[in-house]
Amino acid sequence: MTPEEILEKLHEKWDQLMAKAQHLLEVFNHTLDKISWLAGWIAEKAADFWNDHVVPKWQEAVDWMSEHWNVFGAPWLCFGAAGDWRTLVGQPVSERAGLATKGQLEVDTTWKGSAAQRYDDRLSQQESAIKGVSEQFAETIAAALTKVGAGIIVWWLGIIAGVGVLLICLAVATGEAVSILGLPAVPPTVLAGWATFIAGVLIGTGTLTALCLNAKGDLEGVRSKLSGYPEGAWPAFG
Amino acid sequence: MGTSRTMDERTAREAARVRGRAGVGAAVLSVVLGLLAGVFAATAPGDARTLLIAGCVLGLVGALGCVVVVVANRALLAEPAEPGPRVIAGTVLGGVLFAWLVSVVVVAFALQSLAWLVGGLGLVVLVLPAVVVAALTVRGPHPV
Repeated sequence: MTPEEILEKLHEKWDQLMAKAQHLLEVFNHTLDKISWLAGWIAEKAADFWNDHVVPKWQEAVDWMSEHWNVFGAPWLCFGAAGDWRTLVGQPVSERAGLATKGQLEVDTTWKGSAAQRYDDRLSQQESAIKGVSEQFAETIAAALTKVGAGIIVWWLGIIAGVGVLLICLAVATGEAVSILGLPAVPPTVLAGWATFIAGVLIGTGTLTALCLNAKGDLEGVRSKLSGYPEGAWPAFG
Repeated sequence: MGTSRTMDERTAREAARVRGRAGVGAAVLSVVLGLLAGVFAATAPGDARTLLIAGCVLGLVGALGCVVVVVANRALLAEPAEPGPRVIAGTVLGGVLFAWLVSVVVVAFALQSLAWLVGGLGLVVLVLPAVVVAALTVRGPHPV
């Protein structure tokens, strides 16, 4: 199953969940109607709990979902880009770092004088600048992309866990709602489902945010450590 | 008194039956979560792979916990007043949370980075289904 198919499946599950929630509401109201003349206090207690606790959490979760539904991110693109930075930038440049070392050319040992000395001094700057491309930039960018990709996956897992537990709780609550004895247990079960959904979303979002901030900090750290690049530019060879 | 006890037991049996079904659903969900983490681990770069393998293991541990909760609820269905299954559900609750803490320590130790420690903490979502069904089983209702 590809990640795109997983995302499509998640959309389907959310639609199912909304249908189940609607069905539960109908069953709950139907049972409330049936028992209100016989056991009014049970009906009243269940309805109060439902309106005061369940509905606000329910609404909060639905609002959040409709706002974030289309910004799910693509971790595989982050991982692919991280791999590209390592293999297409870091590795080839790293392999060439040795070419800027003194002694690679005959002229390095035969050329004498003040110009040759100046050339020697600049050669080491070139070598460290070339090494920095791999060690300082490519590796840090790849690691940051990896962290963001992993954060997106944990976010997905949090949402899938939340939606899954909510589906289970709604199914259980619907089973309870059809009987008079089970009715008082409906609102707490539904509340547990919505609370777990919100917990899953919050934990996933918190992890993603923390990993993104950490990656941002790493990238900013790289930008501020430019000792190998005088005035933020590639060292001149003139 | 006798009628009240009978009613308590009927309600408790009904609740145990429903929780047993929920436990089966939670076990399936945990397996799905664990496998998803495993699928992503297969294509993820080094550090992320370690985190996701830990997630895969946690999902499967959560599924195992859910299966134990299902068994505990079957026992409660037969004998609602028996305290043993409640203790087992409590042990599952503590066990999956302990497994999560172990995975956080393993990830933090293996990757030596604050970012991955936070990633490990986020893996708690993989044991959420087991935590919810175990907590519901401990909470009851149980006959007095």
